[in-house]
Amino acid sequence: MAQHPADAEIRALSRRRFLKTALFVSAAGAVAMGGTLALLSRSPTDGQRKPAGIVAMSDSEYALFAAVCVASLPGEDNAHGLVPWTHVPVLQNIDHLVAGIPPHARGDVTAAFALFDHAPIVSGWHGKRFVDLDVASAREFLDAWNHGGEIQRAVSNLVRKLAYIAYWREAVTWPAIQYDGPVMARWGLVRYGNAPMPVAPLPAQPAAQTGGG
Amino acid sequence: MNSTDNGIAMTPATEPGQAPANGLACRQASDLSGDITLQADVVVVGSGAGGAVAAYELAAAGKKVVILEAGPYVPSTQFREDLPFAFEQLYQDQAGQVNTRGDLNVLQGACVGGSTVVNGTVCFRTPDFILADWQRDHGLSNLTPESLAPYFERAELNLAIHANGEHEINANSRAVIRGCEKLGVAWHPLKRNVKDCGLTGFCLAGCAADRKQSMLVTYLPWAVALGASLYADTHVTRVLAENGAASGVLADVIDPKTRQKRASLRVDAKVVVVAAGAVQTPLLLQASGLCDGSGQLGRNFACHPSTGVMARMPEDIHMWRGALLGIHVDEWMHPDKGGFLLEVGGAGPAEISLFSDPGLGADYDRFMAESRRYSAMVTLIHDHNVGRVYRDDEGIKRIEYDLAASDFPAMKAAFKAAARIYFAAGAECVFLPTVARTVIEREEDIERIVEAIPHEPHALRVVSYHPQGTARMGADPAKSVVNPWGETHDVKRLFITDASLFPTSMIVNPQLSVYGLAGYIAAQMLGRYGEYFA
Repeated sequence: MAQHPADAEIRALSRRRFLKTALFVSAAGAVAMGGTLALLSRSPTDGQRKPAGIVAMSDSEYALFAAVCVASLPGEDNAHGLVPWTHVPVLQNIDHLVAGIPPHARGDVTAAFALFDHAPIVSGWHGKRFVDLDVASAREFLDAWNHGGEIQRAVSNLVRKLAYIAYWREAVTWPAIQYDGPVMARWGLVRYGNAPMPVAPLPAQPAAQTGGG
Repeated sequence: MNSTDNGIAMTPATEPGQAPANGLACRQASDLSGDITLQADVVVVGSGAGGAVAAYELAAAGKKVVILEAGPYVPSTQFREDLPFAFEQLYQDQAGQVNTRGDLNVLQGACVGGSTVVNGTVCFRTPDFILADWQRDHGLSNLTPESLAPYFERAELNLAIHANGEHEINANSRAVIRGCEKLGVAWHPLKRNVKDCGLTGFCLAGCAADRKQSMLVTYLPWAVALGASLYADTHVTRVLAENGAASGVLADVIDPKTRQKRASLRVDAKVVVVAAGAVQTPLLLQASGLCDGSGQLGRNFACHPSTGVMARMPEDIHMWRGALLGIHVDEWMHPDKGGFLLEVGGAGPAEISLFSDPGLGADYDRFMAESRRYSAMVTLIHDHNVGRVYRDDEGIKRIEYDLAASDFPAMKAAFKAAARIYFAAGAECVFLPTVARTVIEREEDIERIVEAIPHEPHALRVVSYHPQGTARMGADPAKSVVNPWGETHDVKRLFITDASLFPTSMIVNPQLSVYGLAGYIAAQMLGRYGEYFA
């Protein structure tokens, strides 16, 4: 399993400007909603523990990405023969991607994921966390954020990218779309090794000039 | 195993003057410990396009050369035709190198052979109009199509650079050709440094069949066969200088698995060549406190911001099959005509999901189920040198770069041209590389929809494969870092041979320009600056 360019967005979230924005959004929501925020911030998933083997994501991040996968990836009911995401180790692969986040960025990424999870409480009139949205509402929220401001676009794009990368890197997902995967061994391609030493002559060299240019 | 003059074991053994059939004699962190000091005529920092060519040419001239590469040595026997695996093993920051804003991924190789191991193999000579700009605006009257031609020819011959043949033009390219010919737009086969392409489509994951003529299987084994020493896992921390002249480098040898330091290395050399890439070269020189008399070191970063415009065609395309990159459209390449280039290139399923917003739920399922019918074009623009590379107060690498407002029209023009070609080819719809979903379903909507794309951060899905410009070449020491022959203005005996040199972005894929310039500068070292080796 591997890192991917989606990690680009992760690393960028280390900007202090992002944190300030996130904190401002949270604070504004809290002021607006008073004690209601604390109540709405609770989720049935809060008591759930991540499975053994998930090392980088927290319990709440694991629950968040499970919800993202439900909203973003092919399900059991897809009409095209795609492998349901639940048949693929998507969350383990996402955990590996998260594990690759450099230490200096991890704290801010945690804030970004938390922001995304809690934002539906005050954004879009959902009144509950992302992990508790029904599938249709979760997709509506993701789409709205993809059309939102800079930070919203960055975060929603990031969480979906992680899900796509984690899903499609598994070979079991490929036959449904006729993707071939590795072919060299199947085709019997011969490895050429190193090229032979060149015979091209060195172009004429300029005359020496004391002291250079 | 072969024992070297430093008593350091390495494998494979080589006969003097001959490259081994496979593999590369290379010292790695696992081979090294303690404090090591080496003496050399030339120490080369970086083993990619600029470093490998310079190292070979100097070794071929009888110089004692030491090559230091920060990345690991990954022989092609370990390549897996698996892009995520390659990202982790072969790319800078595991393919997570990014601009400060986070909406531009800057991809570079970080392994022995550098970006040449993971690039798309496309080769262009530096366009004449770019060289004319460099002459007019930067005083580089020595760099003309004629003066560089011998160096381009040498690289083209050595690296099997050729125009794609019929069998290297896949269904993806043929769909675009159909559109071009209907519109009367010229197209051309791309030239690539590939010998008997295996048509696997996995160039970006490293060529497991060694058909790509990267530095890993050409100039590096050739240089080593001629006596050069190559060290992987070796992070140069400082360029040493005394009395205004470079005298060597200091480096840490770091185990890539444990991230623990294994050894300290010092190389004393008559000449230092820095070719660490357009991001790492300025960072190294900044850390060394050298070469910024002009205030330009690390500035003028450009990167050819690239996107993927995708279309759903009536027929099966299977864009992942065949040669990765087939043809290009250069009708609008000159800045007066638009300043953009289109190249037809394929991708796998994860990348297809990332080129544009693929939708959610049933929309996404349908989008991916139909992916075998997609064709994709890569857009490249001739961007302005508006970026800056540096480390911040916390030591974090920063690439400050936002697409300039003056470059946005070229980006939109590229989208429009690609969409028109696709509709002429019979496309059912065109997916634009925006973060929010943007699909064009009728040709008459192209203008309106593209013009509605905002010039905002995180609005486009953009990647750079071509960082450049951060130690620019020029005749005026007050405005440039490197002189017209490759030596830094401020520090004698210190040369740069990578894409940092480019005074402007060159719009086309830069590897052949780097090969040519590195060869040219190596020749200057041997001729114009020959006294340095006395």
